[in-house]
Amino acid sequence: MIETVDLKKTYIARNKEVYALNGINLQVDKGDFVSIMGPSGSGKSTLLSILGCLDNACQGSYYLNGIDVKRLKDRKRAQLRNSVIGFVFQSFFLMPRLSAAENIELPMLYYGLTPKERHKRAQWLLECVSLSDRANHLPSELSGGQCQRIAIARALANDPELILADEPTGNLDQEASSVVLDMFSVLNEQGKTVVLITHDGTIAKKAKRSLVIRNGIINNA
Amino acid sequence: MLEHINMAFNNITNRPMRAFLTMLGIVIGIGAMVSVFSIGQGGTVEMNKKLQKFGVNRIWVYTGKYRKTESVLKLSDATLLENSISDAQYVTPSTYKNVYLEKGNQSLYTQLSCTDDSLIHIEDININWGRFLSENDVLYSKKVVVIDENLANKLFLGPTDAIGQNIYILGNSYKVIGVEHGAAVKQSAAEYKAYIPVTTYASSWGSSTIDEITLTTSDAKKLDEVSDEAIAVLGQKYGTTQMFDTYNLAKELSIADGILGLFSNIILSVAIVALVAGGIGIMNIMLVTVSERRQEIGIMKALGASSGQIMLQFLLEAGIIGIFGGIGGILSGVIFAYVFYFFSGVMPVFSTSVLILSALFAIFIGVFFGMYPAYKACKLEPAEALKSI
Repeated sequence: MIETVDLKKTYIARNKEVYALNGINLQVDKGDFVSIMGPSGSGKSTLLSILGCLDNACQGSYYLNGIDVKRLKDRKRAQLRNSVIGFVFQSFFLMPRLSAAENIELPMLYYGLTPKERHKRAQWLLECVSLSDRANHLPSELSGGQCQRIAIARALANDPELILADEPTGNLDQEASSVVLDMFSVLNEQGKTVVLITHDGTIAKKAKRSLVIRNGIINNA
Repeated sequence: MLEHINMAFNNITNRPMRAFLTMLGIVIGIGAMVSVFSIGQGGTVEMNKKLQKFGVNRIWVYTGKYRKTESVLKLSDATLLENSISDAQYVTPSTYKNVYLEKGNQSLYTQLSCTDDSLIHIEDININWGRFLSENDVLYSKKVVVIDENLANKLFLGPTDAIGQNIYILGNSYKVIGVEHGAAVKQSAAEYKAYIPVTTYASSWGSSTIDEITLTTSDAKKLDEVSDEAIAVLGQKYGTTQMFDTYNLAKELSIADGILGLFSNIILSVAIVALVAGGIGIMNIMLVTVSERRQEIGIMKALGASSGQIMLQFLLEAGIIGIFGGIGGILSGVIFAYVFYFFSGVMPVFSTSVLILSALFAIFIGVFFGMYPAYKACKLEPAEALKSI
């Protein structure tokens, strides 16, 4: 599913090159559940951006389903993000002026589904995350846990193979966290490949496989 | 598409005050444009109506300064001009006298036009009773008179009664042959109006000169050409062209047109400046919006929105501001034109093409000035955009 070869990413800070990623070799098979753990500044978010086709690496290669992402045009990368990858972010990143259902429908809108198809699937996804009764609520009217469940439903909108989660429980209390984490486990059982980034060891243990990133390099935990 | 429009509306109405202020520039610009066009068109229509009555393709030939210099023009000059200028349609000699028309013990101060039968073809004269001067009347210097309706009512029992009766002008008896319908005399000390043959004037007054000769052309474009020809013909006869002058409404028309056009152009350029300023306002606000909504753009990109879809989103917002600014502008322009009508009496003329063009122009301004911010939005790197600032 995912294969990276010697990924490097540098930033310029105070006229000095800083390595955020310094040679990442990562392989994630289809159906795997990988957690990537690391302290802040270790490069884990940078890695997720690259894996999610939100950013390009400076050096090295990234193959998603065997496709060299670096060579893709903008439009193709947008299509990958739309239908192959589902994102779950720490601060949910829901559209503030769209209702829960509309937020879930957004990726389907970009995919080109008809309003009828979108509506039907959004209702079904809301049921899956047990929030059917909140369909018309704005994100500001929902709790953090509910927001994250809406975000997960949105990530599943176009039935992606890969779920990328960046500290998905970072803003949630313990109860909401365990609900959300259980969802990832269920999704993985249903065959989705999950890559979860966290700095919390107990959360990392939910995954089948845990990796640790430190100073831009990955080690096995 | 509908969802995109919906979202664009959502984003605009989210900040109504900002949207309103952004639209204001477009409203003012389009409003100025619409009112200038419609008032200008109304003014042109009004002016043409007034000039048409006066005779647009008419040339007046006279001596020196009009009615200030002793005239040297003779009746024979009219015949000369008629024979020498092929483009002349009607050649009419005229002299104007203010005299008393008398009947019994009544006498009324009247502007007397001493002219010939061709005048009826040139001026807006409606003879509802009897007839106008004829060729024979002029040829034989008949003592006949055409009076206006007011005179007929004052001196007789009415127009029908007046026909065939006699009145006195400077002691000479004239037979009333026609009554003009509702003529009012303007720019004259006299209240009433009457016509006698110019030849009768010549013999009765013992005058050999006439005030003016008017020529009409079938083609209004030939006014200047015919004017020059008339001066040349008279110059040849009298040995100098300096004595004569001509006047036609083409000059008036073009001067009035020019003033009207100048006025329109000045306001139009102000309107365009307002529109450009309004457009820059849109651009400014859209740029602010793009940087405010960086994260939203990042989310849209993460969810798989293509650059085109993001561009469309922002162009729609700018376009909608343009549309509503345009509608507001057209409404305020129409209202202003009517307010102007209330004060000036110039009825505005609204042409659909101007209204449609202004609306399209408003949309164009919105989209054009929204282009750069929209481009900036769609070129944002998703990973960068997602980082909160």
